[in-house]
Amino acid sequence: MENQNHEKEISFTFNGKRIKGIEGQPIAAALMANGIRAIRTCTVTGEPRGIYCGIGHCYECRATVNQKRNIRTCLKCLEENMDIKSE
Amino acid sequence: MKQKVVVIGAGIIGTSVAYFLSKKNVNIVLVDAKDIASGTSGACDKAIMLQSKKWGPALELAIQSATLYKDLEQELQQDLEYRQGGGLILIDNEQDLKVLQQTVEKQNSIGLNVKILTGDEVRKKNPYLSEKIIAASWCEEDAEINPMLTAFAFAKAAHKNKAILRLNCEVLDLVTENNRILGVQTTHGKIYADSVVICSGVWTNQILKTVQLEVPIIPRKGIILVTEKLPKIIDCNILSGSYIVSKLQKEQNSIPYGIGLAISQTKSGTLLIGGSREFVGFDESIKTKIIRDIAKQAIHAFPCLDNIHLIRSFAGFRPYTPDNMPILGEIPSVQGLYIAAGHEGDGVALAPITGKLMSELITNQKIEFDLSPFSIERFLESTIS
Amino acid sequence: MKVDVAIVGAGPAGLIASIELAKNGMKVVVIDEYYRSGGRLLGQLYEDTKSEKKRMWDGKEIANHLMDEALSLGVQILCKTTVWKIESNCLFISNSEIKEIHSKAIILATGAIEKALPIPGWQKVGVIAVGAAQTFTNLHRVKIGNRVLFVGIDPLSISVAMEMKKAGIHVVGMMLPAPSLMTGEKSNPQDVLEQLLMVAHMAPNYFFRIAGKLVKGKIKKLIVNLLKFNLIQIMGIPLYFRKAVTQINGQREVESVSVSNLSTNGELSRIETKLEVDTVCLSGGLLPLVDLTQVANCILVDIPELGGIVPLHNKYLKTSVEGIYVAGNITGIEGAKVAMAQGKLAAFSLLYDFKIVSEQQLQMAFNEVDIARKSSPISFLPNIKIGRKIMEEKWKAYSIPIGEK
Repeated sequence: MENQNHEKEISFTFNGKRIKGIEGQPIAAALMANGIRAIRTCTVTGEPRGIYCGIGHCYECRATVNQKRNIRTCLKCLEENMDIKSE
Repeated sequence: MKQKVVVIGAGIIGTSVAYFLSKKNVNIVLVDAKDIASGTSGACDKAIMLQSKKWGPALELAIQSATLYKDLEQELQQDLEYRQGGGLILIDNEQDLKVLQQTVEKQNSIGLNVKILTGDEVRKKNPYLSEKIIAASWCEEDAEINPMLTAFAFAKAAHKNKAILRLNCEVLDLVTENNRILGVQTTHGKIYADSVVICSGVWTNQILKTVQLEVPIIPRKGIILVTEKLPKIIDCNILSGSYIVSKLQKEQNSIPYGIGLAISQTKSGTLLIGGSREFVGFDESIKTKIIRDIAKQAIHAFPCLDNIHLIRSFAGFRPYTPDNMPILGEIPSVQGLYIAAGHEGDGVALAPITGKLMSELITNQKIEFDLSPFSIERFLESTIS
Repeated sequence: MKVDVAIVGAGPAGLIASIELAKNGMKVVVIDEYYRSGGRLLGQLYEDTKSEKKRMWDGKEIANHLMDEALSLGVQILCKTTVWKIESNCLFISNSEIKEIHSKAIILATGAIEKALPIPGWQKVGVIAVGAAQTFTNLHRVKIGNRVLFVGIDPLSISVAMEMKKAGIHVVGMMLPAPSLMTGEKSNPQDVLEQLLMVAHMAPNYFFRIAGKLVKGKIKKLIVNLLKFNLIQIMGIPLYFRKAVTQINGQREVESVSVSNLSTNGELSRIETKLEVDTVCLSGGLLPLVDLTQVANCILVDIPELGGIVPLHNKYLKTSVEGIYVAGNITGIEGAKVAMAQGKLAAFSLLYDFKIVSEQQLQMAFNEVDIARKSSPISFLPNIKIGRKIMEEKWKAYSIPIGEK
């Protein structure tokens, strides 16, 4: 896809693996751009879960971000060296 | 002909009364203006605590109820999330510790096994507790249960025993003749019965006023906060000493107000954090200040809760009575009319024994428990105008 | 924090309201949960058939323009902030610095959320709501999948499918959800097509403009005729009005869907085939997001013509709670142009109550809403005007007993 100007590429980790994304974009978008769609595991069924509503209502895309649990990755913006972990 | 009984109210008390009656070859109709556990029983926590009960007959009632709970899942053939995980009452100052020590001595004297633990001993049991906790009382007999599951299970079991459930059916009037009950008038017609049991909790006076009676059951609003799902950090019921000291020490007629911590973790991992005590009628609104005060109390006891999400809060109305004891028994002025209400915050703990005793009373069986301290007559003289 | 007006929602309605208020000397804060302002505008990118000057409706550009204007007028915009409670002119917010905002009046412009369209397997990774698909494609410019199927055929999902196709994503087609208690008329080919054709005259694309011309007065006949064709295409995207998705399959992520044929009346055939896809976009329509009006004790009413449960309000967008106004999709599902006109109306309604603008100015703002409606390139609900009328009647019934003149 076309690259917008003034975009800064930074690196972050998802479940320990170092990957790249664009600073300031929602974490979920950065994961999706890296081909990662399964963000967490459902505690009831053990199935993976990912983005559904994209605007913070369904809470399906939450993850632990810099040790803070249950962060909605569709709302939280990506920062340099962020540590993102599945729940 | 079989005896016919109408039970008004499908909360945990009404469903329990209906269930125990249904085992006794009685025709039962259980009516509720809304749904099963749609009032207080659906807006409370899940504690079955013995050590928090008021000293005296109420405690004896609670002990018998706790015994019934142990076999209830098997009896009803359903998972009620019952767990005898014990209970802690936390103390953060010397003054409260003294009051608690006296109570524990009394509790031990009737065979209830309660121990005082030091601050370090408590933190060994639960490492997340704050350093500010200097002591706690521990009772292994304390347990917990899901009150909504329990009410539904009681209703289901009663239904299996041929009890009829009439939900969304509001009682408008009690039908009486010559000081004897004949039945109830509902939004869906009349139901005739030999006996009627009012298990309407905070709404009891709405029913009683149709026979010109009034009992001092007042709605006491309690707010409970719900957190996001968390890993196991609490595996028993926890109350703060300030809550319980004020309850046990309270003088008659003084009205308690304030915040006292009551905290437990559900099977799914959410924490239920109570609670406030307010007398504001049936106003369900939740003031942000109270949410913050409750949260502060929780963080005082568990500093690790400082950074977690609350997902919601809810308010429930506890049927408060001036002496903190329920009203159980027949109403003297109307033959065949019974009341089982006013359990305040002990409805969950006392539900099985209330159902059992009321069923025995209504079917004229011998009761191995002195119900006279719970009689409505203790209030009648002072409240009839 | 103390302001004159707090606005919740930095979408088209909220931003315009903030601009109008700031122009009239009000101190305004706009709060939004998202990381940037613009709301639903951000994902919108389509042909504007009603516009004379411009042929493209670029929502993001409009959002940027509105944001710049608001900021230049001194409006404060608080993004990444959730309003979680409203208590008599005090908003409680989740923000690391500010916890409370005290204001003299509040405009709630919280927009809409998507209705759930639950079909078995909808919880799987790779199933995504159409609005999210739109934002990821047009705003974040991230490819959401390689073979995408849309379930639910309506004006929004069709325009998103076309946008996606333009972005180079392979859109396998569009189908209906299998009939269930939850899907209702969304599973009935005749109903779906009828709803589409009723808004066809203002739809943003070729197919509907053509169909819309054909339709005048003989909708039923046209529908039955159209449904005889197994394949209707828009821009190379197949629209299967007679196929329903019964299940979404896949071990860890979406691998395929099970598909059955539908009769024209919406009865499902028993024969099932499998179609390989890796992404499913669900479109169940929009629902006004009324949570905050409920928290603030506003009276709510159910008007299906407006999209569901909405806060009771008068024609100048005042709710039943003094000092609380509403604008945009929270009042009923319509396009961005109407939301913007409503934002202005809510601002003028408030300014009128504060005795800053005249009755005439208020009336002009009111008239602009209808003008915006007529010039909207896209419409979502066929009976929106009837819905607005019902709301006026409900307001009258409510306000007369309490002595409103």
